[in-house]
Amino acid sequence: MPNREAPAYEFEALGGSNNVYAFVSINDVGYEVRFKPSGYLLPDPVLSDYVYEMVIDLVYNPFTPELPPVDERISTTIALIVHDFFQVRERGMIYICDDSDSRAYARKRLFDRWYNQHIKVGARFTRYEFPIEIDDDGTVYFAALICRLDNPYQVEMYMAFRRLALGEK
Amino acid sequence: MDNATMTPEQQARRERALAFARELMRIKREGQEEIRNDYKNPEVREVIDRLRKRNAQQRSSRL
Repeated sequence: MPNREAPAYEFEALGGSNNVYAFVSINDVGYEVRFKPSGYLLPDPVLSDYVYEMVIDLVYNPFTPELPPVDERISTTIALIVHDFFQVRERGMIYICDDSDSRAYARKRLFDRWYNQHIKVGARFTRYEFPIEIDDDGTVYFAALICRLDNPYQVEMYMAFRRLALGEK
Repeated sequence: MDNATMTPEQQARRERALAFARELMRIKREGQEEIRNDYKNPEVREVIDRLRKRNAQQRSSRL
């Protein structure tokens, strides 16, 4: 289980093909976490059923056009949602850091802190980071794959994504 | 290593790796757009409003 330094917000699982979860912060801000099926990227049809990309964003923001205040309970809640999603042990989760405003490095640091604080502590998960790519326009891409340690497809998933990330055929 | 000093094979690998990264980013952007528009979905609106109401009740009960 994640390290619960701050209590999580109540969340609801809406499900659907995108595995949608929702919660509302103390500042009345609504968040959604989605796990979008991304297995079509992989050539192996066995693995492709189990690969998802995690996306987080605001579904209701009373502070618009400003960004809302953040608090520690948000990251605790997202960690609990990730644990819920991983009840199916065969699943793998991809996360890519957004580089809008050229803040990919800052977002990666935040993601690393969140992972170390809330996911790694239970020793039930493992993370593979992929080589950093810098696009012709300067966009920086950081991506990682997270799996349960008892995922029977863990090695195959890692190898498949490693090949893609390295541009191997 | 910049593009000018890469072999054709290295350039091809880099292009394939970038295509993969761009596709991951495209999925992310698509998901963000879906979320930002999801409050228009009655089912989602109902859930968010219910959670907001519960938060407000909890806040008022602490006062």
